[in-house]
Amino acid sequence: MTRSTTERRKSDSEAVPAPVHEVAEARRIERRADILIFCGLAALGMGFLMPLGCGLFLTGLIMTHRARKRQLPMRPFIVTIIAAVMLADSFGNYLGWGLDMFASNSVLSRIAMMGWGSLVDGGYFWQYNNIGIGGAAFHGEKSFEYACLFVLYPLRVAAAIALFQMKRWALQWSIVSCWMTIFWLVPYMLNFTIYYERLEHIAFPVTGIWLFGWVYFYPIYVLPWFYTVKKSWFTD
Amino acid sequence: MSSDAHTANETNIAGEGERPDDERSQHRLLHRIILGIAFSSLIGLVIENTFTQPFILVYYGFPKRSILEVCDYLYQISYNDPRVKCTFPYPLFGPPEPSTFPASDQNFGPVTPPVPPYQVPGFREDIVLPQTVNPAPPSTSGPAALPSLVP
Repeated sequence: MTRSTTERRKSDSEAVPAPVHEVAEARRIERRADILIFCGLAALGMGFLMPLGCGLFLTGLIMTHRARKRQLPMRPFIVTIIAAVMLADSFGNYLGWGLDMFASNSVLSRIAMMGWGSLVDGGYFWQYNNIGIGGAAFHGEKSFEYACLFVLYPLRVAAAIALFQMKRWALQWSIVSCWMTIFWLVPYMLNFTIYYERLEHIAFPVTGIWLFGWVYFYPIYVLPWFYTVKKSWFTD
Repeated sequence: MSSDAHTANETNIAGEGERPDDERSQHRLLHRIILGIAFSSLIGLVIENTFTQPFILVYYGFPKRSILEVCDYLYQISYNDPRVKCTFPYPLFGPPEPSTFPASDQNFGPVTPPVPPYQVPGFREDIVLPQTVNPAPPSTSGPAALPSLVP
């Protein structure tokens, strides 16, 4: 970690080692900002805690930005952004779907899920809570919830945390999680196409799901970065 | 000096500034595009996660209605029954909530996949059609014959 961090000095084309105190301060700031970003994004996924999460996340992002302005040897900005978007995606779905599956009888969870369903996705609205597991009663949705909750999103959260720490296995696991996202998105869109009733009799029938869903296509675009990034950044 | 620092800052924003010159521009445009997409997706995710739930509450009239009334209202639309109430607190490990609702046979909502409007024997008719074409012979003696699912 130390070697790669010292090589990560900004605007040095020949990778001159940074002074030790700058490296230590950069690592300290990175650590604090990472904790803020992580907790903020986790709170962003927790339904009604989102103003707190938004504040924590923006504070962490501004901390890293100020440290970069001071020419400290911070990690590259794109690594922070990609890890943050992976965390935001994972937590937004992880805790939301976890509430839908395991806490579907709480009032806030019911309002959040059924309100979202009545606006955008009827699968979360019609006959909500009707099956034994609880939550969305639509065909196919529960299987995707289980698959993503127990396989994809834990893997992606672990990969994003390790991306914050510039581990080598973070690169590999991120590639795996991106391909798993593509493998998940294709049947999910087919589910929307075949069982098109979930887009009927709601407030914003098709435009709503595209308005909400375009952000979840980022792994397709981020995948080339993982293949073309300089591998020597990830030395641990 | 400031312009040089600014240029270096610009090149480094996608993590490209520290590469040697010969390999600097190889994936530079790709990485900048990816940074833009990832950043806009991040902003979109944060905005969605932040403002969806307040928008839902306000959309269904939260300051005028209480949270439980909003929940009742959503259930009444979803089950198309004005008698339905949002039970709270619900017992832990209780049965599925609609089993506690008053009996109704007009639940609205999709249950089965749609049937095409033209007459074609599909998978739904795999069992019905052979039974109508070749009905099972009536049993003469012995125990009652099982209904023949396979022709």
